[in-house]
Amino acid sequence: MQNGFSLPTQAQDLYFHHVVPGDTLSGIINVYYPNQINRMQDMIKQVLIDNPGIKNPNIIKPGQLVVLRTASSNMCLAPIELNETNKVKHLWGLMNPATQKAIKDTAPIYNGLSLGLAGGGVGLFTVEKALKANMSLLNGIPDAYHQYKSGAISKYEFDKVRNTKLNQYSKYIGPILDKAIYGDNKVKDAFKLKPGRSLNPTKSMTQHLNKLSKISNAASKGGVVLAGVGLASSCYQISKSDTLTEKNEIAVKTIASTTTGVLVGAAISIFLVGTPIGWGVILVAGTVTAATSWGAGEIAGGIYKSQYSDADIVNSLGINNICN
Amino acid sequence: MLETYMRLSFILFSIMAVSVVVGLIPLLFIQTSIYKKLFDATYFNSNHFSLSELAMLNSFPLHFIKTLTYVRAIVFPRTMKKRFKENILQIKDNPVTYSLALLTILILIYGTIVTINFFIVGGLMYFNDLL
Repeated sequence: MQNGFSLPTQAQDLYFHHVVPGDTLSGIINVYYPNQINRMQDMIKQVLIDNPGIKNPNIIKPGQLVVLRTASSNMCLAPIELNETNKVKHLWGLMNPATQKAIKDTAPIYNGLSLGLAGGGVGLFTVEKALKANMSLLNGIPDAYHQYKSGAISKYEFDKVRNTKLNQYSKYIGPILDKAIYGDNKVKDAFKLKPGRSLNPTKSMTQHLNKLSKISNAASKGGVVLAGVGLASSCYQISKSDTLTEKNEIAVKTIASTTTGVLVGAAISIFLVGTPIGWGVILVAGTVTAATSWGAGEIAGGIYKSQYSDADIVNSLGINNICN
Repeated sequence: MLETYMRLSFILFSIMAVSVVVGLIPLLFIQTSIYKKLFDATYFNSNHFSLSELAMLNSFPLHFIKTLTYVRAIVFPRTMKKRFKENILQIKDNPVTYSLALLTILILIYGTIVTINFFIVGGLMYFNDLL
């Protein structure tokens, strides 16, 4: 025993923590001995006694093993029981660095998943809204038919309206959606009138409008679900990270990329709305927005890591609690 | 020097992020709620906009792009006369709405400049092996 501190007696009295980049001794102690800030100096002294390999409490190296006492060690600095979050961190600390690295290597998969799901969500939203915008065009055909039947317009005028609207519709929903919705039928076939053979000659039109409405509603719900899953995936990355620096870096990246996405999307849109544009321009604008928001997130993360790594954003904004 | 520039840019970027969350988004909400008529689908009809434009104007959640179309028409009326004809709101008609539209544009301009600057910083950091 030295200076009132004692050495552990058995292996089961100990926690073993493998240091990872970004770890600090006080941070590690705080994980295993939560709510003991006022005893931090004493605890650091105890850890230095138990870990002769650590000469300076400010210098620990990734991969280094730190030995900490458990509640059952019955020593002067016995910690309180670990909560669920810290139990996970404890298990993480028990893994060897190779396993930790292998798990961390999957992080890009989660990143990709988030981006993919968010993109899928936006895509489905666009499909839904595109269909709705085009449906308003098709709604005019039954109206024109009734006008024709009542004698307000001639057959030639009705055919002209119908063909113009169907051609526009076919052009704007594009070949992929066209194929997905109507299969091998042409749009014109799907919207064919059945005069004289049905009590309701516009029935097929109404049916197809209802079908489009159902598809757009399903796409809308799918978009919301995908966007939610993407957000949850980002949150999962924050909860999975074992160091505060990593959590903060992910949070900074997310905030920066999200706000930049909104801003750049708005800035591009405000200049595009004055000019007639097609799907190609919309696609390019979407890609530029996505790339810019991703880039801003990466730069913000880099600056945070090199200049502001001491700022605790996840806890001050409550993001950590929400994600945990 | 680079470090100071980096820190300053990060602070400006943070202000921009806050401006977007507490400024731009609420501003768009407010304008959407004030001028419901302009967000009526019949106003944004195929006589003034192509179908792909109409699809895009409807594709962003919360009708933000419709609001932005209106903002542009108010602040830069000459560029949107073809679309809105005589319906563009003048400053004398409603100074409050005009001011909101102007503030929206100012936030967008500020944000765009800060974002471009942020990417310049990112490039400098990359070439100095700091990123």
